[in-house]
Amino acid sequence: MSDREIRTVLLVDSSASILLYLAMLLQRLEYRVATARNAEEALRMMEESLPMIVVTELSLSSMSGIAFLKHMKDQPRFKAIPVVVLTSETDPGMKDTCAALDCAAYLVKPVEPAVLFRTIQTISESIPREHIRLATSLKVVVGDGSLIGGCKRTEYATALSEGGLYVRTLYPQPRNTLTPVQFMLKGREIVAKAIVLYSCNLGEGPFKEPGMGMKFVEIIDADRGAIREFIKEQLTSDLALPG
Amino acid sequence: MTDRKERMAEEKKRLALLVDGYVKDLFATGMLLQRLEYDVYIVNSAEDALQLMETAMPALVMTELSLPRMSGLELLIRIKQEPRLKQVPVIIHTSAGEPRKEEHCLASGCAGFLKKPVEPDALYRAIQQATEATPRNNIRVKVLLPVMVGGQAQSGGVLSTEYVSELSEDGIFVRTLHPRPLKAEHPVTIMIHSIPVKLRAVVLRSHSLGVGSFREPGMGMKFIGISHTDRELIRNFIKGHLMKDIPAQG
Repeated sequence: MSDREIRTVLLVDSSASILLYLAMLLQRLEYRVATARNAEEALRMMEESLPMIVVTELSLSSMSGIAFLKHMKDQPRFKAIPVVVLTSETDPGMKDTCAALDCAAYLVKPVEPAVLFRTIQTISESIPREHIRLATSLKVVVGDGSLIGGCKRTEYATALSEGGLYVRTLYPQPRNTLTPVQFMLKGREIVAKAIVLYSCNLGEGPFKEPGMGMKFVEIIDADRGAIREFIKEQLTSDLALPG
Repeated sequence: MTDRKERMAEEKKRLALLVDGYVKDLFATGMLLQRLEYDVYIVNSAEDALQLMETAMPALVMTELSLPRMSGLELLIRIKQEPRLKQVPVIIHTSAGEPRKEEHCLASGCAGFLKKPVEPDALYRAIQQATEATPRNNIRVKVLLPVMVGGQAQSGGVLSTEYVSELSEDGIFVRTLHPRPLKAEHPVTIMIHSIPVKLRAVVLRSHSLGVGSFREPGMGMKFIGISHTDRELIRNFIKGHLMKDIPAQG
């Protein structure tokens, strides 16, 4: 879907079901994922290859998350790897301790997928994405028959985020075209205006879905919220979160 | 981090070179090949195809017969005459349908002759036969279908839904943290378009959530004694899944 480099996230948690939930979620967000059940395993794995980022629980068997964090920050080899703490630990003192140990972010379980995504993006990308982009297949009506909007036609949106969508089409409109878009999300009609940020024609070379990337410029908050909920549901509805 | 070889194998997609001048056909075939896990590269002429093959060796060439200047048949002949290229399988995918053409292409060494529009399973089979030592007969697709394995709920008495994440006419991969023992037979109920499809399946392989590179934990199961009707239903579902939102070819 994107030309971005695929990053590896190392997940450390003693619960298999939490590891499965987070690993599936991050995989769907286009990360490569490695998992470890405790800090010792994680350190052994890092001897072999370094992840882009570590996401760890604090309560772990034998070596604690705090000791793990401290150990990483003491080792020149691991020091630069950002560590995100994702924990059920609610003691406010813990957060300060982790901050003092230079953790990159402190999140409390259960975490919203959007928050986890934004946190990881902010830490690991020079141009972080603000919103999750969901690969999807939704019928969308673009155009309104006006001279500017172009004739009304049905296409498929193949990516969707709170900020916009990618409309797959053999006839993308030029950059900066403002077009009405309309689609159904779980029985709710979303009507918005979107502007074409880039378009991609089907030509010689590596096959890439032809179409246009569009950004919403006029959309009501309730519709944006419905998109957020839809994305969350698509990403997690089949993943049971324990507890 | 471990399983490095396996990971490489999983990630390295193979390259299919698609030679066609019709944008709509390129679009449909390109999408379909992409869904069958190929990296697709498009050229509009036989000359460009030959030039590309000077630098990159595709796993597969798929070409239309009617092309500007050099024809698809000539491209096929050139590839088969060139010692460096002759191993590359060439599938003809064309709207030109005279039987003589087909004979000609087969005699010239094409690995398959398909008429547009092609059914996805025919395309899949042709590709498998052209590229694999042990070709698979049935398409495997990534899906997300609720499934119940065994008559009883899992431990704790709480009915936890498991999911089929891969489906073919032969069997399924069930994502689960609790894979059942190998060779065990179970009744399985898969929800397809909200219809419960009841089958029997045997566990062939299983994979638990390990340390290192994440791979979906679960078990591969093969159907036993699947009825003709159920097979048909699954086949149609897979076809619909692959072709959904792909426009018909001209």
